[in-house]
Amino acid sequence: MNQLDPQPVLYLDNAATSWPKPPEVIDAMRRYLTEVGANPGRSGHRRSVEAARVVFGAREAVARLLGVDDPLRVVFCANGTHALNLALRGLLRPGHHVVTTGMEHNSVMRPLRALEAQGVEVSVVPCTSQGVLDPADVERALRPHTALVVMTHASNVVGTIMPVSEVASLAHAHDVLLLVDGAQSAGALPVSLDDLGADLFAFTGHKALLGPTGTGGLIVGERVDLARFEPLVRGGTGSRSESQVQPDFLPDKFESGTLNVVGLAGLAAGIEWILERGVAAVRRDEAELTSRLITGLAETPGVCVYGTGDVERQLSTVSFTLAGMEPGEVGRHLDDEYGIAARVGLHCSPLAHETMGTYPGGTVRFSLGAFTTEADVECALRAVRALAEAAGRR
Amino acid sequence: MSAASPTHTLFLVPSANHAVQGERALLRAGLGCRLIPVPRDLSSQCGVCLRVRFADRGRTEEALTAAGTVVEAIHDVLMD
Ligand SMILES: Cc1ncc(COP(=O)(O)O)c(C=O)c1O
Repeated sequence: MNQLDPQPVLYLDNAATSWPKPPEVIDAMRRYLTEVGANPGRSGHRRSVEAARVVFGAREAVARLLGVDDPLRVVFCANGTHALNLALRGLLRPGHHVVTTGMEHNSVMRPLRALEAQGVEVSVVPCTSQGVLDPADVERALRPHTALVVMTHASNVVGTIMPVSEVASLAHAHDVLLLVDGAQSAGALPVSLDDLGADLFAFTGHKALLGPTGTGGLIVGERVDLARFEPLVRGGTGSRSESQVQPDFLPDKFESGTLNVVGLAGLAAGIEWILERGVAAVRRDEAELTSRLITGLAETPGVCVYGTGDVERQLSTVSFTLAGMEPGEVGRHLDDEYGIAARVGLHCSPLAHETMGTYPGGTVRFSLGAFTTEADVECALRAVRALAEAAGRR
Repeated sequence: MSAASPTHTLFLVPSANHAVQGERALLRAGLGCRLIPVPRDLSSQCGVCLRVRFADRGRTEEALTAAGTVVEAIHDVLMD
């Protein structure tokens, strides 16, 4: 409880950013700030070397979690959006064709629309109203000049897990690279990039990886030709300082400027926390709670739940609407009267909501996390039942 | 030329990222090393390099190669 919360908060907005963070995350950040403090690798002194170790530790943690052999293929960015912009703007040129899906977040769609205005051709493959993509539709959309397929691994609106590995096989058969938006899946789903077949994988550190805001990155796979991949930002890297030209190797080519070392210290601790428990175990617990939530919501008169409704095919993100009450109003009541933090509206994903038929009104989204309990789910269901009754009386 | 034989070997790598990667590889191989600023007379870059005992030169080279750490130059030096 604090000044913001007159009552204890029930936080069900983990798809926006996870909360709470494990105490180990805060300890690691405090340790860096109080005991290390220096700029990583910029200077040769011990503190600077220790800061470089902190950053490398975060690279190793990400690599281990995602099944990446070489930690130097992990490029750190400010967040998932930055990583996606780096990949899209760094790889696509006028005359290229890019294929994406009807379930994307604006961190994919906005850079694509801007690139489209510069002469990149964009095809959007539709999905069903449950957010399901048929990989064959992606293959049909490929053209001789297609340079990239970009798709989310799991929807941030309804949690639907997308058929990434199937799309990867089809894309590779046509010599096309695949960029995956793993903002929602990294840490929430067991992921091995080799099995997934992603050539580039954008992740964010502050959601299921349990790190602080201001962290994220891009995994750059071996198929990506670095010579044709432009950085978004150029500048000091602590390496090749004698040269006025940007280094051409990973990760320095794409990591100019001082990194968020304190954030990365926390990110490494967040990932360690998950690895200790096992991603699969965390996922199993969340799936059980998600199943309760979906069942409870679906049984409530006046509630419409979106997505597949199958917890095996979705993450712990559940979208619903309530007959007779706008999502915005539901969100306000949940916050004011029940202390429940949910996210309502379009979730930065107008295209996904169009696909689901919930544009422009949007939905109410509950997203569970590693610390959500059964009691939390029951409490949320009681609140929705009460609001549904109130709406029904109108 | 000094007749004294080298005490240490310096492995120059592209960046601090590579230096830490190399350090971890050597640790795993049971080899001691220190990350030190690259001496000015060896390179104008301001980064760090790996310093090992001259006696460990061969095993270090093997361990770094096995770990895939890019080594740009190797210098045998006389240091305290
Ligand atoms: C599917 C998806 N992609 C990308 C992002 C962007 O991540 P970030 O907020 O770290 O920039 C988010 C989260 O907001 C997301 O849910």
